[in-house]
Amino acid sequence: MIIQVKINGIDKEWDVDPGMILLDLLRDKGYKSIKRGCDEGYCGACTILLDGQAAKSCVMLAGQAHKRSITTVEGLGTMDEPHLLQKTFVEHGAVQCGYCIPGMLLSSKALLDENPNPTEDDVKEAIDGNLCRCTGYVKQIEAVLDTASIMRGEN
Amino acid sequence: MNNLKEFYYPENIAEAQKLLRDESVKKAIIAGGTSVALLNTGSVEGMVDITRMGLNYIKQDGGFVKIGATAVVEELARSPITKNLANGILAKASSEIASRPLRNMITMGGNIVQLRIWSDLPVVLLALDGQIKVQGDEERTIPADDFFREQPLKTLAHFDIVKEVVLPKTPETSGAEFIKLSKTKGDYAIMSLACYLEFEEKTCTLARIALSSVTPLPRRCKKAEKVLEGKQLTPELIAEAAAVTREKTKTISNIWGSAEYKSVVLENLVKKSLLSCADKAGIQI
Repeated sequence: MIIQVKINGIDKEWDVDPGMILLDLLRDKGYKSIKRGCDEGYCGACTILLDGQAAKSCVMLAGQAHKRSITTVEGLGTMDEPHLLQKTFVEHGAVQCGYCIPGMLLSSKALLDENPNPTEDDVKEAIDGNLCRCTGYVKQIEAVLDTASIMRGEN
Repeated sequence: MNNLKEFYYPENIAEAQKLLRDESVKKAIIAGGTSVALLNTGSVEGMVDITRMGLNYIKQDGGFVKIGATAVVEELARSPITKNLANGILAKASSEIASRPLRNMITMGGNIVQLRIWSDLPVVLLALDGQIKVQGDEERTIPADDFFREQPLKTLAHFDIVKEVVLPKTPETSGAEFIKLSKTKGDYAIMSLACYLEFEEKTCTLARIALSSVTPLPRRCKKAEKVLEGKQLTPELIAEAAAVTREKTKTISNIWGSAEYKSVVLENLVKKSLLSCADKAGIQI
């Protein structure tokens, strides 16, 4: 069946098997920033933004995305012009193997979009669905808080 | 979902029911999808997505809070309406479900129509005397006590749509508590329970004690409630109600905890929860 999706601001019409897992569909379509981790909704490597809210694409069917807007890291920034969150993550050394980072960035973006002044607890709650098995979470939390303060013009 | 060929996006309940009544294509309902997407079934050919029918509201209506079936649990966790209802136990229970990206997807209806290890909301509905509105041939209102007597999916017709949960507002002289015991905040519950006490002067006039993951389906322990009702609460009486709960509850073992372990912890958590209810109602014990 045909589904219409707005992905990273661009309208697409895809002929899909509606029972396909959304994660598989998006990776097939070339959005490789989205990672497959646990495949059952725990790890958050497959996180996307669905209508601006973080969601796990490994427990969604392709048909559920019809007429909804999706953001992936491809829509966040580029190598030459990274999003402030990406820049700050790098500066804080918040990335080791990098596998969890796309999901982490999107969960953090969803938080900052609705709350420009988050507390440490707000950040922890926002990324509670994104498991990191390398560094722990301290650097990522610092990076998100730092991004928020830069966005507020304080740094 | 190897045989799934079509998704349907009804805009209202009548349209959804028309689709579900037509059995030429075998259909199922999907909302958040978190428990449906990974079902490895070849029997479903059409999926009816009910998230676009305007059932995602949380509102106050007279003496009631009304929650649409497709309101997501993250909204239930944050809404000032749920936070102000019965000491916020529905908001608390919702905030402890899974993780943020899943709470953005999981719906009120999805959490209660299939009673699984992750169903933390049914105990709250049992403790707060919730009612579930179902649209079948006609609209019917089912008290939580009846709704959860069996697996709801077994008793609902294939064209029934759970559309709303109704919770009565609670008086000032009441206290409610929800406790989920789990290894981490978002993990599945080893057990969860919700208690509610109402008082007149210092006498407990109404008690509800609801338990989950200790019995096959969520249940109230009415024998323990009777211990409290009509009496002024004392530490001894609360201990007795907790002991009766333990005695009358045939706990089950699963990978999250043995029956013996749950039985001991249950008594302690009921005690803790009842003391907290009394405290929130302003009753000194």
